[in-house]
Amino acid sequence: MASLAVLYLGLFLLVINYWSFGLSAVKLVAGWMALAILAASQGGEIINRTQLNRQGVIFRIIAAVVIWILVFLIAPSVSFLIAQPLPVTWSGLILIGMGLLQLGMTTQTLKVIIGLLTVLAGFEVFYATVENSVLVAGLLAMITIGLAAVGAYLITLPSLEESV
Amino acid sequence: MTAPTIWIISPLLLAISFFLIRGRQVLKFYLGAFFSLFLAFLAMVIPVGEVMTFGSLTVQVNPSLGILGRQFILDQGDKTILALSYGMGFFWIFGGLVSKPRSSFVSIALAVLAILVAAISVNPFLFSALLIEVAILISIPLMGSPGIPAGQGVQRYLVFQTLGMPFILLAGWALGGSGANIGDPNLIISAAFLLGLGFAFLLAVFPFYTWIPLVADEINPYVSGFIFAALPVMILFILLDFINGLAVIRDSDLFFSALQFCGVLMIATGGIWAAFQNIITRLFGYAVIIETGFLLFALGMKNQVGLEYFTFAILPRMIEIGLIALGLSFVKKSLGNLETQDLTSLFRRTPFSAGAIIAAFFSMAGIPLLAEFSIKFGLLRSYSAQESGILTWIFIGMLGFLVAVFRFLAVFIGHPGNYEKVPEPQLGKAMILIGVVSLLCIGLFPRFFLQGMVQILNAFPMINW
Repeated sequence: MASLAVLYLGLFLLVINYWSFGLSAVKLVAGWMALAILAASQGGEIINRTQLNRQGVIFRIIAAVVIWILVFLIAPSVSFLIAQPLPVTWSGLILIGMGLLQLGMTTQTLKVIIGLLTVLAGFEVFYATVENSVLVAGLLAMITIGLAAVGAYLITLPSLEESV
Repeated sequence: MTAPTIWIISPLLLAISFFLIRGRQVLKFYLGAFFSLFLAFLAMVIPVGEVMTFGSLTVQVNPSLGILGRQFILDQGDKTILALSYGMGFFWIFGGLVSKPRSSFVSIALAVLAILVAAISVNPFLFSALLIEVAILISIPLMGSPGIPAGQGVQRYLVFQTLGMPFILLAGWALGGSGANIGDPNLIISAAFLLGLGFAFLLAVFPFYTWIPLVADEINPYVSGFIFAALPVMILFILLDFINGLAVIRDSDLFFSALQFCGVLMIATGGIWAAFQNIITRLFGYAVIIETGFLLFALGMKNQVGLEYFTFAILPRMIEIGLIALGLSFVKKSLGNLETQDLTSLFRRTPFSAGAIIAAFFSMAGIPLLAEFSIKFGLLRSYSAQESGILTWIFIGMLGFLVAVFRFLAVFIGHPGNYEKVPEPQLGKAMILIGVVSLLCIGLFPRFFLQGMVQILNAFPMINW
């Protein structure tokens, strides 16, 4: 959760180079709101951490390293294709890659939502450099918060009671 | 007064008010259903953009509404799509009176339809992907049951549908908004790939369709039916909107070959997996995959016959999905679950529901006299004149699907035992009867009933192969 908070801060610092302060702040606020919603859904309980054996940890580290290498290999050509600075491409691709890795390795709702938010954050890095529409910023913020709300709903579903 | 106010904002406001007001469930279902019907009726009678005179009163419905610098445009060409969307809304919400899904169904169904209509109308059309994602997020609460953890299907639905959005936005930027050299073949290939991948996620193309049978199995059949009826068709309209708006895609043979290949892959794999299904809800999911495959196959033909099939197949598909969803939800309510052993002798216990399910599956399989026979036959006959190799895979897929349907038919008929007839709701029986008779009538006189559907193409004037 804390890492996701840092991620949105980083996203804000990157996007502020292309957008106005106010519009960039939307990303930070939306991201932190999403985090708050997800954190609230945990209800003060300690997140159930799956116990990983040593091989599991090593496998995840190797997978992450492979993704980082892949990103650094393809980033120059992607950067050329979309005509964006290399650091932007690196950040975007790394976030997308790590988010996809997270999505591929878990079935826990909270982690799936965090994975999706990470992928979307990576995409937003790219998209902010090419599109500065207020409507798009608003809709993307709505989707970030909506994803967190849907995640919170799915997480709390087993403890909900049918109202009608 | 603007058209988006009538067909987007007013249903959204009604959906929000229904969500906020507690109780009065039956009234909400009636109001929601007849409001949808009213919107469908308005779509057919209001000439958008023209001045209407009622005595001394003159009214003009403007086609466009600006929101935050973007335009939402619904003009005369969109009227068939609007009538179809809200006609579908009427059916699903009215049917909710008998199948009784969750109380929030009316508000969520109305909101999802309104947002999907907004996605079709937004200009530039590249932003439709964002609105589709909003509709998908709104639809998730329908899929959960309080007290029961969300299944894998719902998670995969959320993940796959969400992953589609960034690809479409990036492709849209690369093709239309980049300002880059549009003649650059690398850029075009990359953009077409991104666009194809985005729509592959959204339309649940192989191998991203695994959530469909899972969702069909995990959630209320009526809710899954609504999702399967509304989402793929509206997303296909948005795909047509992209094809209509982007000359690069419209003129690309590679893109349409890829569409056709995906369609055949969905029919073949969907049919083969269907043949091994022992759970009827999953068969429902595979039937939806096969139907979407046929729609993609038809679009991929890139000719008038394919387009005609595409428009003709939409109404029968909606009726079939509606019948299966209604039938399955009645059976689930009456018998408690939908395991194969519980469906034994279903024709004796719930004859209307069993008849609805089998008739709809038969129609999807293209059995003569039913709605899709003449449409599928015409499509495949036309394609066989061009190439026959690919038809083998379609045949294998359809054969697999038929095997599964006949197996369930045997279960429904078999084992005459000591089963008591379960009463079915009168309104439900009436709806099923209308649905089955409609399938028969369309099967007997397809042109008479479906010719009007071609007007869907009025919304996409540049697509004129």
